[in-house]
Amino acid sequence: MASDAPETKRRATAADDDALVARIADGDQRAWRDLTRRHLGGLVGYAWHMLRDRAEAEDVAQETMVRLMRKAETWEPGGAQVKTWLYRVAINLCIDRQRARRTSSLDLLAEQGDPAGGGDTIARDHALRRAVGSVVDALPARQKQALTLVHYQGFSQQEAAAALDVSVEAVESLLARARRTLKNDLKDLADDLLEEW
Amino acid sequence: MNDRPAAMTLAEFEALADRFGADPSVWPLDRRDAARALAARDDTAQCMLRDATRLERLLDVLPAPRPSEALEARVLAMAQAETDAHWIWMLVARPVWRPALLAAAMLGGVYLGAAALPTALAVGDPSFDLTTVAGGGDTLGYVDLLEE
Repeated sequence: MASDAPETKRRATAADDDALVARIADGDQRAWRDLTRRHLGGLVGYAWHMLRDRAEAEDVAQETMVRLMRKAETWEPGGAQVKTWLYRVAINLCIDRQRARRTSSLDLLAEQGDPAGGGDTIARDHALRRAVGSVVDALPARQKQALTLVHYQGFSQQEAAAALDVSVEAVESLLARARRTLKNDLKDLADDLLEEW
Repeated sequence: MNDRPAAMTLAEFEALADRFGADPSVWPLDRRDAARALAARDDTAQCMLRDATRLERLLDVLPAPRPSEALEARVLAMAQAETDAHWIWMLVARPVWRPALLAAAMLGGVYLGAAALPTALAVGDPSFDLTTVAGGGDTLGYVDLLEE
């Protein structure tokens, strides 16, 4: 088990989130601003990693916040954590969008990152991003969700388990499989690029 | 009694690195010391940690964008719209206001109804003609019926 300090901080933040939602239900705009600033960046980040499209990621984040606002009046403190609830919504919205789209994530990553000119460094960075992005995006959906929550969003494994609605052991297993795949595939794909790291 | 943790195998070490990442300080507490001891004396274990660290650094080449100012403004504006709607609803829904709102609505109805009546309806006006109020000649039959 990891140190208790981060867990204590997480619990304090969760209680604080509950208090903010209660104030939002009473029409407190400052509480809404605080909650938005606390979670909007993470939601955009999660959605971007899942969709690789900034506009879509922002749509997902906005829709998630809209749903929280509608939920505020009936929110029950002490139940699901606000953060967990938000990411459950975002996870499902991303799944819906992934099912509906025809363009692959990798194509979107290439469109956003193509160097217009630039030197060798830019081209190499771009190639590295493409190599890493292609392997990450090829992971099975649940593995990618778990990896994104834990690595990019800084979730504890307990928080990721709650957001994904699985056991902690299942999250550990998803992460282990994801990391093994990434290590193997990145070694094959980009050995020359990785040497510089 | 021996409190020393059981020695760790390389397979267990690798499995922990895969499950919990490159930082042994977040690995399960009861296996941390054994993991550190193995990493201190075994090159393969050190290599596994380096691979795990390199993987985490590689993943960081994909930084997500920050929310645009436009998005933040849109989301913050939602609160204003929702607050306006909320207070209007609170005003209407509060029981204490209901009789007052009902009375105001009734008064408004009476006022509008009175305003719509022709001025000829004034009491004692000799030019008053029921057909005017009833809507004209088409209603004469109805007036006849009333007279009967």
